[in-house]
Amino acid sequence: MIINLIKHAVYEHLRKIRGAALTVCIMLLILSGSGVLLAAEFDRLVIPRVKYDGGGDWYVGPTSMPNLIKQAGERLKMPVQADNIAVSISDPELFRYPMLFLTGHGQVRFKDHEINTLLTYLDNGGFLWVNDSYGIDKYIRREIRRLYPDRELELLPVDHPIFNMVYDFSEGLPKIHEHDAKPPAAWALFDKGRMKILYLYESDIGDGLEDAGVHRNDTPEIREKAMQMAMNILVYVMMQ
Amino acid sequence: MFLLRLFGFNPGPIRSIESAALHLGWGWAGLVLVLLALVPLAWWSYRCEGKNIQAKNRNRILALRLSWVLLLALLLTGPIIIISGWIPQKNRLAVMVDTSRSMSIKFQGETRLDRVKKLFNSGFISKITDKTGIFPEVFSFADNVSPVSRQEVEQFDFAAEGNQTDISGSLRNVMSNLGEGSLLGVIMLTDGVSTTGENPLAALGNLRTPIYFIAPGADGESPDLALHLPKPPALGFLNSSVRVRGEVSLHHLATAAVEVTIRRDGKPFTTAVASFSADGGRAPFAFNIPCDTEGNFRFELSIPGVADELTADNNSAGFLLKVVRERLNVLAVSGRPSWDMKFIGNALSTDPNAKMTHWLRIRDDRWVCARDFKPEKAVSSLSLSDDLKFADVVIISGVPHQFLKPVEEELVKRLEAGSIGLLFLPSTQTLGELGYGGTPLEARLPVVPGRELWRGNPGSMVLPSSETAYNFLRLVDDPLQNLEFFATLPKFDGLYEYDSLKPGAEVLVSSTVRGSADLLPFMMQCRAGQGHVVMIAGAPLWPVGFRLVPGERGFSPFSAMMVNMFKWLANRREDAQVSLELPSVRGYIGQAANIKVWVLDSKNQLLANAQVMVSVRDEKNNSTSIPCIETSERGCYEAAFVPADRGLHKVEAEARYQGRELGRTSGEMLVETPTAEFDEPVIKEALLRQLASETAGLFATDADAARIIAAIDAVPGQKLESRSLDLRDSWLLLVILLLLPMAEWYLRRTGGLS
Repeated sequence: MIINLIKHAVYEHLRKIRGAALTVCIMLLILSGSGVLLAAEFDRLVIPRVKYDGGGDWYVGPTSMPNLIKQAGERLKMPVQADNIAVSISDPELFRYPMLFLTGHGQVRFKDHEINTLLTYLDNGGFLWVNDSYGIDKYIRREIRRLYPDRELELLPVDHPIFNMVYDFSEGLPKIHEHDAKPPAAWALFDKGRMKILYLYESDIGDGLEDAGVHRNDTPEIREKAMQMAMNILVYVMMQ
Repeated sequence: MFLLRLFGFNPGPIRSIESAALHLGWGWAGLVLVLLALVPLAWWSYRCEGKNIQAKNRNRILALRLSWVLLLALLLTGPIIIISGWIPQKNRLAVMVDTSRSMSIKFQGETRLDRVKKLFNSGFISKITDKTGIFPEVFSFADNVSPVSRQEVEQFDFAAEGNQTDISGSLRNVMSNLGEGSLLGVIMLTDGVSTTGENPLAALGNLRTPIYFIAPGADGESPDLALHLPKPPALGFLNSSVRVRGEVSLHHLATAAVEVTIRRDGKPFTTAVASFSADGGRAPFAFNIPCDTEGNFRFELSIPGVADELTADNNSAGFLLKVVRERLNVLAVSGRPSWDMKFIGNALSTDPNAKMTHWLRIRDDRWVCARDFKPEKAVSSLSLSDDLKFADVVIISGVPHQFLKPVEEELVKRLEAGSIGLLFLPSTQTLGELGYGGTPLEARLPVVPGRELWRGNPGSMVLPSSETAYNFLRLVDDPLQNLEFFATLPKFDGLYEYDSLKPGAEVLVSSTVRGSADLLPFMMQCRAGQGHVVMIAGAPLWPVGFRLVPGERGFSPFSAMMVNMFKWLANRREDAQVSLELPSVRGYIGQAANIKVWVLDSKNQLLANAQVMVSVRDEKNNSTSIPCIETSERGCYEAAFVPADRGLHKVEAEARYQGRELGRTSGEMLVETPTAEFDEPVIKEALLRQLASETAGLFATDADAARIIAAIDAVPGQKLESRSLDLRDSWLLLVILLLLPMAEWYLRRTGGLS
């Protein structure tokens, strides 16, 4: 497991190094702080990624959200703003976005005050989509338990409506990126009758949303599946 | 006593002294201390003189000086004499006659009140006067207590018309109003049926005044059939049924079953049967009311009467049932996903009574529906007809007209009837592009579509310069601050500009998308028949709603605005601002009904300092207006209404704040004659005996009322009284205090010492 994790991280970094210069520029922009990030327009669909502590690479897959947003504009006829935007939980701007995307490999750690802020955000209608790129499982479960100590993540059955919103996934969550040959699983945390957190494990929809060629193993069919599932998630969140 | 008067004291009404005691203000220790200081001083000054003096004179002078010192020391310590003695007092005796309706129950051909009359005519009062030497003070009691004059007593001017009896309250009232005097006791002529007030046993058990009870006869022998409906339902929800339960009781009657006839709004509705077991008593009955139509319904239940019945009043009972839709149902149809709809859903979810059904078009052949904010699996076609049946408000957001066409006729019909409201939200396509041109729905819009033009500039909301008449647009109480609040809300990215408003349409909110000098309509409304149509021309809404941090100027007031607007659209304006809380939909003649009015401001927060007026109109169209008093609960105002007549009463409440009308609400109350006096038509002998025993009184029936007269302790009234006499007020002591040094001076002059 640890060897796999290191291999995967090294691979990801090597890929980033030889990636397009644009990716590096965006990375630098993100790393330079959220204050200089592109501001969201109110009438556009924007899904920012969560900047978290703990050492995990929260910035991984910078093209995934812009691609998803762009496709939402084309497929769902929504006005969109296809930018890669990051927001930290303690940033007051967090409350401008009804949906957040959290991804990465490895350690995720929320500060105590971030736990309170995130709870307020979720209780007031916000939504957190967690994507397990690899190795995030035990850390994100620990943090979700800190958020809702009296709630358990529930495994979504294959007949859950989230698999039949825009596209039909009769077998449930699709497998996009292979890691440990484990089956993909969609876990959700429900509170007050509403899904507040969706945690996709061993599927890595985020990888499938990235630009073509970033992951050599992701065929166009695989990438389409990831996009279709992402559309389902988006519409489900907007409908609930 | 002579000495007291001699010293100039007035003992007041005390004629003979029972005891007397001297009390020193500084205490005895104070006196000793004063003496310790003064006596050596007097002795030293005496010894210092050093003159030869005869022993006789020396002793005299010494005695005078010591006496003066002693008297001075005594007066310095604040001496008070407390005397106690008996003073004569006037005897008092009260006679209380129960005039409640239970006193009309007959025994051996006579009502209970007839038997009281017979007792009075036999000289009961004059015998009391002979025994005690006083004419008793007579009162009648039932709903309230009234003094009865001697002439009225002689004429026996009593009638059993009181609808309730409060034995403990009435007794306390009489005892506290009898005035000064020695209360020999209270004689109560009652059957012991106490239908209101405190439990007499708990309230009167510790009284020190003897209470004498005279029960007029024994248990009634008249037959009685009584219908009991203790907790009738007040509210029913549409498409459900309400179960009504009641009882029928028998008194001096035997029957196997009694049929209960139920009428709704005067028309036969159903019947129910109350079947009695072998031991008679009470038999339950029940029936169902299917709530298939909205509205207020009056139900009247009745059972047949019997010959020479105790009372016919308890042979019928009634109640009002209000059938309402269970919730505020909002039906939304969207042509594309949008955060606006999620914001509206979030706002509605803050109201537990709101329910939202949202249909979203993914493609022409794929629709997703979320019921009560729970998305369901996608389906291939839109099916609105079932949801429309229960909808109070319909939201149309960018959905092509062709999908609404199957339900358009029904939608317009319900809109015109006022049972549904319509909200149009803007979308990326114009109404013309969506196919609304020339349709019945287009005819109900406040604008003329066709040449709409998208103005893609950010703009702020602007309220009309005159104060808005719509409560849901008042998010902040102060009108000026409210204007500012709207102006500071997040901007909109643009709006559709229309050629003109239709006649009768009104701009609710404008926008500065074309500059602050050229405002464009942002939110408009018009009437379609009895229904309301609101159209929002600008977008998006969600930035305002998704500023999720709750706060005074954040998410909450804007959510409240949306929820209140939906209620207004659903013709439930009263829910948003003013609501009426009747203690029961059933009232009784002579019994105060406390009507509560709850007032909310436009942010759905309870509002203090409102002016609330309640008016009640009876079936004869007599109207009573009662101003409400603000209670300790914020936003709650209360008024007491005492019905005088039977029948349906319409209650209307109006709330104003700083001269501005906040809203009105109305309700109904069915007033009936109270029958509690006949619920248990027996003499409560055990209760009366126990009360008499605990107060050192006596219980008797009217036949042996002489025992009561004999038991009254008619000794002359007197009471022990104490008075305090301050010795410093005595002129005689003052004179003595002056004479003592003068006497010494005289002795010294005549003895050659000075």
